[in-house]
Amino acid sequence: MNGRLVRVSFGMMAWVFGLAVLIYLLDTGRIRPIPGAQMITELSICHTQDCSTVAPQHLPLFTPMAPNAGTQARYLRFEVAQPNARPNAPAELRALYLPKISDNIDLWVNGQLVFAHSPPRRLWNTPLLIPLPEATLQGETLQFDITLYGTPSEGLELQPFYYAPLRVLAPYQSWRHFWGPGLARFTLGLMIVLMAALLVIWSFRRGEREYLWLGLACATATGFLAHYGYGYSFGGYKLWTAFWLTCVSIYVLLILKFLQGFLQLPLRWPQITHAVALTGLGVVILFSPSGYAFSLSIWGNLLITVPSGFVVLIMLWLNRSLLTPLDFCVFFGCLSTALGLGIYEVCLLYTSAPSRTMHLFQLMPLVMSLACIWLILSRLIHSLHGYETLTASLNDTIELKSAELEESFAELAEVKRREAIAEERDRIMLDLHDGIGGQLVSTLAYMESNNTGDGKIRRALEDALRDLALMLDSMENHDSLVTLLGMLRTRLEGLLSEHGIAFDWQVHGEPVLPNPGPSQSLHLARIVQEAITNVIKHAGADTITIYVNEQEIRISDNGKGFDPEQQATCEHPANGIANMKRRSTSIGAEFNLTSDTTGTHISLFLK
Amino acid sequence: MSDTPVLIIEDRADIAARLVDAVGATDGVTLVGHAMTLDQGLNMLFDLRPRVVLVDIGLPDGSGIEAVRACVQADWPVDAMVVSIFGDETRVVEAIQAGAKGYILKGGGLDQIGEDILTVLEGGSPISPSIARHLLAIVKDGTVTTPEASPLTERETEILRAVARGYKRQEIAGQLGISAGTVGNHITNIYRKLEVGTNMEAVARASKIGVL
Repeated sequence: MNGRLVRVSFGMMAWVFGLAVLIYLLDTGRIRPIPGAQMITELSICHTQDCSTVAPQHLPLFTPMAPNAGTQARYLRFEVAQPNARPNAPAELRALYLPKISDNIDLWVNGQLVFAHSPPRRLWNTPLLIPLPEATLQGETLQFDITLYGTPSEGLELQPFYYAPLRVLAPYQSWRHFWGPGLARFTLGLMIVLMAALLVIWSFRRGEREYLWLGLACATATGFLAHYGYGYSFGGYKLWTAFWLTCVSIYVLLILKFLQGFLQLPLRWPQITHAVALTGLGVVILFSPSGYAFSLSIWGNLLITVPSGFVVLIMLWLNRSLLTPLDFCVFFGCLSTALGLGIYEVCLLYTSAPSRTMHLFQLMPLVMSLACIWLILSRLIHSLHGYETLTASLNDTIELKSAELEESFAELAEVKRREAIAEERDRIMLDLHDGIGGQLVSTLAYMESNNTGDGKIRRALEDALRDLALMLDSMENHDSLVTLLGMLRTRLEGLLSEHGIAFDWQVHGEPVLPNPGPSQSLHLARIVQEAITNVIKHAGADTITIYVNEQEIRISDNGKGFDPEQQATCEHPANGIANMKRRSTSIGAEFNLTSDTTGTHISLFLK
Repeated sequence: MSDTPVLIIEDRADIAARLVDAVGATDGVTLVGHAMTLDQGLNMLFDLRPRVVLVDIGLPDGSGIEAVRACVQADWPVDAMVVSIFGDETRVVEAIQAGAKGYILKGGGLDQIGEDILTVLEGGSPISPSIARHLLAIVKDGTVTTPEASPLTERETEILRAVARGYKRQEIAGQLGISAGTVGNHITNIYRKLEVGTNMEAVARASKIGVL
């Protein structure tokens, strides 16, 4: 793990320094000749303000950094020839464009003051365009006197500048101003808006501290962006220098806290170390002489910020699995760019004679904030996606459950319906059983015990009782035809033995009617009963064979048989067989009757 | 050897008269009493200590099942048989589970009633296809809940299936190569195994199966 950490650390350093070198090589804002403009690179430096003694000076001019308080000045003079100057003729408005100075100047033209510095504002990051009043541009030679002011601790700087018509120089100045203080001001505004938005979000979601840290980071960024955008110093040089440089460190600390909260990393020591070191630095700066404020601030913050920045970068790399690849690429790219910009800026600020003139550090909070906002938006999008997925899943579940519920309601309704039917059937059966059945049995018993009534009535009552039993059996045994036939056998056994007929019972399988149910079963039982009754009445047989398998129910006898063609005559009633056929059709069975002198066979084939 | 004493509990006079006639016409049994109500029947049961009780289920002052239970709990050997119009399984099974040894049909012939009584005395029990099927369903559904009730043996199940298909005792005996008496004993054993005593809930559940 340690070996890996070392490798990752070196890798990160190489990557960030590589980016810093790339930024350096881009050489943004290089000062080069402007077509139509006179580029001033050579002038005279005066030893005194009255310029009694001069020495040649080549631009750029730098003074070494010295730990002294107060202000230092340099006096410079140069002349510009106007060979085609026409006195009293309206000349085109001319201007002087100074792309990079540090910190401020006074400018005299032909002895007239045309631009005066205005402390405490410092123009170290402001390209200066000074229009020259026409009145000052008299004579074939124009004499320019420049007094360059600045702090000894940061050194003075004057880069080559231009003399040309205002219209020629204005676009260059605007362009440089846009990328310098303009962008810093824009970012400052953006930071204020973001800060407000993030703090409002945090006030509603107190549990999510990431918004707080990011909002505070935006607030902190306004400190050094004001320095880059406006150049004003508040509270004196020492305090302001310490303040804006410390803002960078605080900013990095807050980004560290944001990332730790966002990625939910348990590692706390980097931010604690950072905070402790920062507090110590603040104390040291406060008690140090003013001339050391800049050096102490920049070195102190550098030593705190750069390691913390690398820690953030390494943490991010090691925990990249916590982010989506796109989120990681965006955030890692932005963070390392920000670090590269920081290193580039240190080179610019803490070099006596920097070889680059354009400050780019104002881009850093812009890049970082955009990266953080990207992360928050990405998480929001993921949350929305998750919410949508969850909603879809919930909807699916609801649909499924609704369908199940509907099904179970339907089943419940069916069960209830069946229960109601069963209850009603029970009631009817009870009525038949105890009511009609009881009366029939009582009547028969009465007739028997009192020896009253004739045989016909008695047989009719016995038939009615058997018929009732058949109905009850059909209802109770509709789900098993062999049991129903068995019950029929039981009911008819006595009658058959009275007539000297025996059953040959052959059950080989359970037939199932096409549309099972009590009424269908009753039809079948009545067919069989009719067939048996016919045997008793007409066949003169001594055996009735009942053969049953899954597809067929056959009733055969060994009686004398009859001619089915003539069955309508004499003692074979036509309606008996017609009824059997009709019932067969209604239960979906094929009725087949054959008869000869060896007996009669009735078959029911279930389709 | 003295005749077996029989008690009849039946509220319908004509039916009771018929049962009395049937008992009178059967050799080996003798009527010792006839009760018209459950209360009267229970009193006579303990006073007369009969060997067989023929009891109607629908009595004016209660269910004949109570009399069946009283027989089961009696301290002398007494077999209860329910008197049924049709032998429909719902009530008969209920009675069998309460401890009845069988049933007789009110509308059956006098000799049939006598034969059924004698069958019970000989250790067999009458059974119809419908009742057999119902008993099979009870065993299959696991509604037999008494701890002492063991599942039916393979032979008992086989016999119940054959009865449910309409085969008579003698035919089953022929198919299985055993005597008709043995088949009757098996049926009596089945009845005993399915007896649930006072577990009315099980009885109620079992009763429902046949009509659902």
